Amino acid sequence: MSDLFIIGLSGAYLGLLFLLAYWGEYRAKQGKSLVNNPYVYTLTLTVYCTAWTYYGSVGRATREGIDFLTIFLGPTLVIPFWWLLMRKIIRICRFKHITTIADFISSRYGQSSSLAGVVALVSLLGVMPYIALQLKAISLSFGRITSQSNFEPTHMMEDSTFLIMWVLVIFTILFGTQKVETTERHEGLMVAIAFESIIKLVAFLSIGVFVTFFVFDGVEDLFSQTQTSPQLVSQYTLSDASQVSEWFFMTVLSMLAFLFLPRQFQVSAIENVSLKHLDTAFWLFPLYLFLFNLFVLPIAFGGHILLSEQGIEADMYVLALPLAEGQQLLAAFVYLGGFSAATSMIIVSTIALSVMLSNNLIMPILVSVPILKRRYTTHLGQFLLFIRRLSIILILHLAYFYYSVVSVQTSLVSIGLISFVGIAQFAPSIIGGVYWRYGNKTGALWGLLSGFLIWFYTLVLPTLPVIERISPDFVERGLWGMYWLKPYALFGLDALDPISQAVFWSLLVNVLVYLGGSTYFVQSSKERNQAEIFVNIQQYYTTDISTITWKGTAYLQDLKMLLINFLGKVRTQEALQKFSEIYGKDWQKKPQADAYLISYTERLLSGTIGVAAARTLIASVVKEEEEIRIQEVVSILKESQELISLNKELQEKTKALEKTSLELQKANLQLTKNDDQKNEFISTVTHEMRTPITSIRAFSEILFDNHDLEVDEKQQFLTTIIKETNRMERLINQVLELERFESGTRKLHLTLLDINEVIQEALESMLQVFHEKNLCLRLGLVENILPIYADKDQLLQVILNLISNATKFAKHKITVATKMDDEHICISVADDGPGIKPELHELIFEKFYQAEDQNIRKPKGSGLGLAICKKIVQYHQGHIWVESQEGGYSKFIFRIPFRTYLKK
Amino acid sequence: MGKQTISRKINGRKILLLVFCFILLFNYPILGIFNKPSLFLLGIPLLYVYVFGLWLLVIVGLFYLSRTPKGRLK
Repeated sequence: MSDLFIIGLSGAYLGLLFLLAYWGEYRAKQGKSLVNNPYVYTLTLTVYCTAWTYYGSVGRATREGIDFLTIFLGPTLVIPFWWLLMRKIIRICRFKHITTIADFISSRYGQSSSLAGVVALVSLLGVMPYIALQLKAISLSFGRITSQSNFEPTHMMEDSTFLIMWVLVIFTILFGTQKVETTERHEGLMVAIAFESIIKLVAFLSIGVFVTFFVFDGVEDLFSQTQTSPQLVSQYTLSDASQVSEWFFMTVLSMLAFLFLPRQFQVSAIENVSLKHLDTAFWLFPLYLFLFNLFVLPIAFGGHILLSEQGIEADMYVLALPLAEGQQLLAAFVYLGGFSAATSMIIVSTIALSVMLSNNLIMPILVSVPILKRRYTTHLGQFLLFIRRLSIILILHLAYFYYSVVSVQTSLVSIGLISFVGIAQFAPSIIGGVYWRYGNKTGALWGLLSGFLIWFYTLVLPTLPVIERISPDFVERGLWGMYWLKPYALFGLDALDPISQAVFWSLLVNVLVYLGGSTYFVQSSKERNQAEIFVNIQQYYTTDISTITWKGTAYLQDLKMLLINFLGKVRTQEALQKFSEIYGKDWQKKPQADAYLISYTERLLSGTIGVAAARTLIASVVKEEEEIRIQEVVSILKESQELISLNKELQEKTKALEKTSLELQKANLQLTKNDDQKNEFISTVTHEMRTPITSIRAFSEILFDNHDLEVDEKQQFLTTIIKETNRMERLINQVLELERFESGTRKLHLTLLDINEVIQEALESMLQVFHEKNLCLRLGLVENILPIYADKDQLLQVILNLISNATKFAKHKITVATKMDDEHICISVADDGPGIKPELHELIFEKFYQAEDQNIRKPKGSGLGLAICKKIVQYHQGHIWVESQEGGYSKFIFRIPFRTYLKK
Repeated sequence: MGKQTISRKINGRKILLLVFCFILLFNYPILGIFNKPSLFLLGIPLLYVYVFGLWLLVIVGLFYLSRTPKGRLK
């Protein structure tokens, strides 16, 4: 195909991109953004698929089989985590007006300008080979399609790659540096990138379908033909252990690259319009990758079968196949697909790098050198744009230089992987910074530097021509013959391929240094402040917590001048108008700005010149009181002391409240219990009274209705009526007695008395019962017992009750005894009856309680006797209890202190 | 649908578990089961069928997580 046609086609395609970009910008100005669409957002993410994917994957698949897939499986596998992480990162970027990955890392670690500079430099060096790779792909494809693959230009102006590079410079400058504020999205550019994503996918699918179904007779036919080639048969599987480990490391590497490549950061976070768009990318992006890779193996194997003998390099099978089959138009379309893949990557990466270079490397130096700052102070905004445009030219020229000197000797895949490992060094400081609040600047900086150093030593240095002169056998024998410093087998690790071992060592050292540095060194207050915001961004996203960063004052005029210098008068006016809408207009009345306005200005500047430079500029106009004065310390201590004292007081009050609450709970429980007891008492008394009343009524009715009853019968009925009446009277008396005790109205008539005499009196009244029941009485009374001060009738009632109970249950004998010690006198009544279960020992002293087990103790009486006994003994400040063995004996004992009464 | 759909179904811990499962399925030793040079399915090497088939299943699963109101992980 003629080179003029291809140059014309490339030019026309770039012209179309210009038009699309203009249209995108125009729509955005009309308020009809094309980028505010989840599908467009996902398509811009596919800037991940570069010329490496387009051409290099086929080359790698031919050499190593399915291994090439790891680069695309990684992003698919990590996409759920990407979704989670990106939600945080996007919020942080919006909140802090962050526009680059360097800004992001430096902002997290105390807005350190040195860290921002290092990240920018690492990005530049890491991405440079990648841009060179794209240029190489353009050059190779141009050479292949114009059949000039062996043409070597003698001058740069003869090199089509150089000319295309300049067209890209113009395109990027036109659409990437329109505004000085980088927080504003590049709407036109993103529309062009999304369009290119469609073109490269459709083109690749077209060649895939063509090779599989038109050149060959379907997948089965293609694979059956591969069986004649031993090289292709060996690609059916992962053959050895090193390939297995490579598979794993490549997957991890591509995950990190997808997360942290500057161009991915640019399209994923900075250009994102809505968090909702992440949801569509969640599944659509992996689907795009899947479709892109579906025909890689058929193209690779088909190319090998048909073209390997012609000496065409595998990276170019995509183009060579349609050309070999005479499909010129298809070849041109496929060329455009590869061109799209390369240019989209170059444009986005160059913009991201140029912002980093200007904001994180050049501006911090400019604003911190007074002479430079004074010189450019009135037109800093214009100067910044100039720097950015210059950076774009510089980056693309450096990439062209790398391409001409280094990458011509290296395969597409190798260059891409070298870049991936370099960029993966950001992983510890970003993931740690977002999820671990204790990560600090020292850890991040030294971790990054050490990882980067290993990357440079193991992967970049061996590719540089200069190393040949310093150490000719550098790769085989290590630096100056030190075998443990062999770049592809560092520290003697030769079990892994060069890329895997570089990933392993660089990330291991990076992570360890990051963790060690963060643990050993202390965070500054600024770092702590930032860490809190980054880790808990969900909490701060809607607040204006950034004000806590600044402590001090600044003149309003100084801040205004800063903004005008960078944003221009109109934009400054708009920004301050917006500030008034949020915080009111009071700030305009004072000559000095408060912390809110200072922070607002800083954030506006951060979006334009980067976090670190903004910080330096603001610091130059704000009189910040960094050092704490003695009075402040005293004041803080005083406040702390007051707080401690207040806290203590509060704690005591809380305890007192808790105690009162507990008492109230107890009282409430007691009241409930009392209420229950009252109800139970009424119910029992009613029940007890109903029995005699029923008897009385029944017998009275018989007597009333039957006048002709015999005298004996009448006598018998009347006796029963009288007996039941007595029983009822007794019950009522007992209830009243108990009530008097419980209400505290019962009075004791205390006299000095001999307890033995009281016992004798009680026994005498019970002698008849003993006789009737043929019970043997045993006495164990202490002689010369001391007299006690007590109510004789009450004590007599207690003893009588106990003896009466004993007679009801005794089989043969009853023992009554007294005992005395220094303080008490004890009276016991024992019987040899069936005994009482241990669990009833307390209950039998309750009102109306009667043993449930009728076989052991049959209920006789009202059930109030023992309850009254207990009350009487308690009134005498004594205690009553029972000792019993089930099936053996029961012994009721009560003890009364006589000394207390003697004193009285 | 949208952002809240995934948020409702999946939390941070489950996302990490999901990523871990994906990595496990696409790596050794599971991959070793299908890494047989003599086995083909529909004329395609078994390893290729497994990797591409599983990849498609993962995409379907991701689509399901972002769209369907039923079968929530959380």
